[in-house]
Amino acid sequence: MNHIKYIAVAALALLAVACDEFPPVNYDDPAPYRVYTDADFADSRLVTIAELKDMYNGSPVDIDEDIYIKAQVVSSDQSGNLYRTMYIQDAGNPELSVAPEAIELKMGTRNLYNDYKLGQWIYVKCRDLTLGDYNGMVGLGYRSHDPEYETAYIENQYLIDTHVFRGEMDDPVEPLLLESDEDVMNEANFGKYVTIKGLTYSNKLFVILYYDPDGDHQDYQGNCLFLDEEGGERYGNYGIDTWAISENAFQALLDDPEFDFNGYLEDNGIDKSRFVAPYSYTISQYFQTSAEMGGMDLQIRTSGYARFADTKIDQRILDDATFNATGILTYYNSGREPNYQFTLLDLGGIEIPE
Amino acid sequence: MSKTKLLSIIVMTAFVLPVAAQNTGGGKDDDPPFRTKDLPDSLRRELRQNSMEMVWTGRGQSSGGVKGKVVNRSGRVPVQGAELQIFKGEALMGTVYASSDGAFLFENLDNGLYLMKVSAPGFLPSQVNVEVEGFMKDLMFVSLLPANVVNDIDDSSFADFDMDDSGYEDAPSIIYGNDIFSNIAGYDFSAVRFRNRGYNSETQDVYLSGVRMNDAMTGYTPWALWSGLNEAMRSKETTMGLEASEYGTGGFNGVTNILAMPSSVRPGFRFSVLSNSALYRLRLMASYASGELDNGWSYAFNVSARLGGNDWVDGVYYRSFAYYGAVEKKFNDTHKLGFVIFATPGQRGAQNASTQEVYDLVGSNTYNSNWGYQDGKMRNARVRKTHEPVMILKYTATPSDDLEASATLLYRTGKNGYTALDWYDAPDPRPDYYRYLPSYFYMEDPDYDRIDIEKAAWATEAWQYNINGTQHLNWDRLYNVNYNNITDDGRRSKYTIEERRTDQNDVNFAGTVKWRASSLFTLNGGVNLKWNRTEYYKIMNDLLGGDYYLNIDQFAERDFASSPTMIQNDLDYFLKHGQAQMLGQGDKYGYDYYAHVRNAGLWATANFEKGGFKGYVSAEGGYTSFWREGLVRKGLFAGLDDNGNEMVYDGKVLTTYDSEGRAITSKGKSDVSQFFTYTVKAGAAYFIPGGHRVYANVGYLTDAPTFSQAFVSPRTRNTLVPDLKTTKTFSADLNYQFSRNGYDIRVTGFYTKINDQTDVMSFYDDSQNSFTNFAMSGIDQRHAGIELGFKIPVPVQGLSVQGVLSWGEYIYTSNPRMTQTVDNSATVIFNDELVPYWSSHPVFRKETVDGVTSYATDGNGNYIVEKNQKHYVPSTPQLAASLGLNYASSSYWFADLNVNYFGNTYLDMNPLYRTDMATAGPDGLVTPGEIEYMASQEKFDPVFLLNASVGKSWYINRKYNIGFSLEVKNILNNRGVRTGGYEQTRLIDSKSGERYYRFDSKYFYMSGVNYMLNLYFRF
Repeated sequence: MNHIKYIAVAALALLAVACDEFPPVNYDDPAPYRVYTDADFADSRLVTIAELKDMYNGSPVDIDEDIYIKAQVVSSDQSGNLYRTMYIQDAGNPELSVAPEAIELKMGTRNLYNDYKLGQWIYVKCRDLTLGDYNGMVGLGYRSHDPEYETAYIENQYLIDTHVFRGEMDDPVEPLLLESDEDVMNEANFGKYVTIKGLTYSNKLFVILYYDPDGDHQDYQGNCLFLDEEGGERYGNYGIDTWAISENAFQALLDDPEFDFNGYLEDNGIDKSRFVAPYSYTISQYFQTSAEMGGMDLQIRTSGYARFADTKIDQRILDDATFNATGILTYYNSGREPNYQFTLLDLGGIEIPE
Repeated sequence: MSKTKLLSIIVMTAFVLPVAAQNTGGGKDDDPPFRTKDLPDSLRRELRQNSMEMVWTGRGQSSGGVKGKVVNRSGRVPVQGAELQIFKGEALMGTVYASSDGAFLFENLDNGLYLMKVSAPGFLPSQVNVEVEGFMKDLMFVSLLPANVVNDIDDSSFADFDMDDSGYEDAPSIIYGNDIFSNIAGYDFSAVRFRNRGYNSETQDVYLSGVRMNDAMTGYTPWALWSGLNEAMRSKETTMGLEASEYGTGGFNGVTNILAMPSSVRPGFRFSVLSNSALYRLRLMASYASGELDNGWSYAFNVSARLGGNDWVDGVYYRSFAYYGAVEKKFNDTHKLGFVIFATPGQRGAQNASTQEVYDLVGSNTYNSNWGYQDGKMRNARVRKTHEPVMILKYTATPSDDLEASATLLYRTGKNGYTALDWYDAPDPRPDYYRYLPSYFYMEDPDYDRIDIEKAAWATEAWQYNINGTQHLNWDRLYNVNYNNITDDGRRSKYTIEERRTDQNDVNFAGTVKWRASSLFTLNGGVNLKWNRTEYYKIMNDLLGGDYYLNIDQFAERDFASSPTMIQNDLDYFLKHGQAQMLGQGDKYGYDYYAHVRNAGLWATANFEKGGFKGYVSAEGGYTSFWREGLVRKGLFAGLDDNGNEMVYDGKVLTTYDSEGRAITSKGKSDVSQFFTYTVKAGAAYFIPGGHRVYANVGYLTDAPTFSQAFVSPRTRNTLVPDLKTTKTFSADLNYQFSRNGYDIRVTGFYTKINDQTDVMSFYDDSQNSFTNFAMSGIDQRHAGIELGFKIPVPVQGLSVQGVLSWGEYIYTSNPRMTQTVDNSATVIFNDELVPYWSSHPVFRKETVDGVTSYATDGNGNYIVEKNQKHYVPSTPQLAASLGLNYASSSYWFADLNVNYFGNTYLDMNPLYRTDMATAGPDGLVTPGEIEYMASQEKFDPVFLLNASVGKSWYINRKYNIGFSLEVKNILNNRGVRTGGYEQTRLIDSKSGERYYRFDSKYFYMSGVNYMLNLYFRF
């Protein structure tokens, strides 16, 4: 019977060892995120966004100081009209009469609104990040290895985790009311959450379409049409009266034999079948500030990936009703002429006064 | 008598019915005396040479003796030429050979206890103790079990030990039989996912109590239904390759029938504790079988629990249980009724394949991306949860010795779920998502346009040192995202756990009849009916800290965000309530449809036997139909309403149409696909005295495609794969077997051609933000090769050399056509287009001029094709070999040591890389370099493995049996053995715009050194 004893002892030992790793059945819910406070950055120097932007000297600046900024999130990519980037706006420094400013934080990850809420305070440790210009706007990102760009997206989660920290939730920032075209053109307002009142529709469209003129499916990247320039006002909005246009809707237009961009294609001998999928195109509508403000052209930037892309512009606006827009003021100057743009966060930013 | 022989006979399955005749009354005492002239010439020659006949007359003066008939247990067919040896103690007293009607006689035996050993080619050796008491004892029938029957294998026999669910493979690649090849290959080759002759698992027919159990949806073998019930399901009958079985004509990859009835479970109690380090830590098992009681009842039960994780793959665990209960009543000699119920409820964590880059970063090829820490504990997002009870009612009638009929009703039901992360408009939570890896930031080749070496360094550091849990799922983050997504209705979850359910209701009827018309002719036949309705749907398994989730199609939302109807998973709900359904835990969502399958078959096998010749012809005719029935109306594919009118919302027509003008619909019944199939087979065997057997089989089969192969996107719509056809298979094999005096050898050559196969691959493509589906048709394959298995005694007591070789060429022989669709659009991306580089790709001649290597051209400027590189059937070694030593002592020690070699294993291919589009690149220009790069098939490195095992059992008071067995696999701790994987079906754009690059492939690896220890006790 000794064998039975040995086997029994071995079996019990096996059971005891194995019991140690039975899988758990229940898990407690994780604790809420840690909320960072000023105290967590006591070993760094707080700078305002204005001070930070002032560090930019015309070429990319790799920050090698232990400085940080504290700002509130003023943008959301929930609607899809912003992609991989976020705008933050600080409180300035009232003691030193430094006004609040905003900056684009080139995060590089998608669906940022899940992690960074409108109004939430965030801290950005700036050491190892890079200040750089993109067509006239200074932003904060990572060092770029592409000579075409001064900054790159931060993008890598380890980099984000070591540079961007979530602070307290707070009420969303109140939009700054821009009262004149000078306000629109004021560099200090770029990136801020703003409201512009009294806008009207210009019946003008900014369109870049890539197409394949000889149909050989080659070198399509070099073949593009800037319709606002080539077509001018003769073609109005080219028959597109939505805020933007999705790929499916664009395909539907190409499939529609009646649709020819208000006669533009026919006038210019362009065969629609030469457009190359996947389509590359940019479409944004133009608006005009009120006469009181100065009556400047303002492009409301929209993306074909925005959820509201195929939503028709309110008929009242198309019929010349004035409206107010709230969103992010941006600027784009590719060298030809400055473009003051307005980035909608969502269609909730469009208000037609009764 | 040598102890080795004794032990080998004990260890090998023996099945004798020494007193079977008491119940059958079928003995014929007045059989005519046997004469050698009744035997075939060859056997007579052999007998003359050995100076032995069917009668052995001892030198004793006693009138005692033993007589009887050797018969095949299956049908009581006489086993002519069976060798019978009678021993007294160690001394061989005499040898006789059974006559044409199986009769034998030992006479003039002194009183005492004798051991009679019986053997015949094609049958398991057997032995029976006989006490001679001064008269001619008539044993009536001595039944031999065909070698294809595995009955009641002893736990202490390693080669047959517990592999059904040992933790190495839930679905064994080869079924254990008593065939020398499958014994060794099935055990030693399973760890590398060896597939017999390169065939897919669905070609293997698995029956349970006479009912074919292959999954009605996929054709896969359903081992998981009874894994953990080793004792109850141990008794099985198998055929190899094309051989027909008694339960059906079968296919070309063998038939296994698990008996499952309580009378087939070995009587007595058994308890075992098993631990292994490759899959789960602990298995506890208990079983009891009564055997057939005097009142005709027999009953059995078997329960088990498999628990814990393993040493190699974190996150993989078992919490699985199993139960089996069965009762059977024999009413008289004619009628028997049995009922069985069993299931294996439980859950187990799954493993995921990753790219080599990930494995290298974490320093382990067994990394699993499916889990992360929550509450300090490992939590796996992908868990299989099942509870599928199976009930069997079986009636058997044996009105005479020559006629047996059975009718089996089998019902399978329950749930089969598989959890996975689901997320809405949030970053991909999988830790090894390609955008989180260093290679996303930097590649050496500048044409990838990935130039940020610094960010790659950050990513590398995070991965290598697992900073902030980079290597694993970040449950804290997923919960926090949900906590903070506050809406008017509560916290809307962005990340959830979904459970994909495949709940079957499967009713089967199988009727068989076996009629032994004469000693020369036996007829088997039967009818099979299947009714299956499987519901596919998803339920919300866990809201991960949120309050609700919306039932909308986020894939459609990207493209049709401004359409309130097209994004609806349940359009009818939206139309009724004006908003999408808010989902709570346990709610159905996403998709919900029935798959209906009906199947009927009629088969018959005629067996002929004369002298040393055996032959059969078998035929089967079948009918299969299936259709989809959508239970919800998806916004993208609204179809027509219940009255056949177009669906309209807010003045817009929602109904869309295919190219033939038919409404594309997600709800309601699809077209019914119907297929008539047939199988014809023939085989012949010739037994040559001396233990030789030569046999061959040939067959032609047609098979209907399965439901899972027939719809382009069953989750979303009723659209069928175009031009569905039956699969046509021709197969033949030629075999030689030698079995005698401890030698066991089999050599087989086989050839199989499979034409017109269909396959549908489906995967999530984040570039399309959708599931994309590739439906291929017209896939042809050819499998040809040889198999060798041998076991040869060496002149050391108890020791033998054993080995197997499987060497074949399994290749694709056609270029199929492909249709590609995505779930979130009716757009057909590839419409029935040829995949020109599926079966092979050209390899072009290169030349070097002035140190520059380029592709050579002919006088016309055309590139010169040097050869066409074949593409191979993947995921199994096409060359596999094993050589080892087997030791078994008379004191019940045994040991095995085997060296295995595996080569010619290939990675599974995707069709996209073999299209003109992928090889041409964005510029549309096909170059030799692009073809060779894009269309080539990856071949795995060959590997050597070393496995060993040892065991011992003790008998106590001739009643109790305890023992252990310990096995160590992959002793050399080779952690670089790829067992499978797949190509990601995605392309990377190049900076130049001239070509595409592949995404990295994903692989599975075998565990390193691992053990399995089993302790058992039975009585």
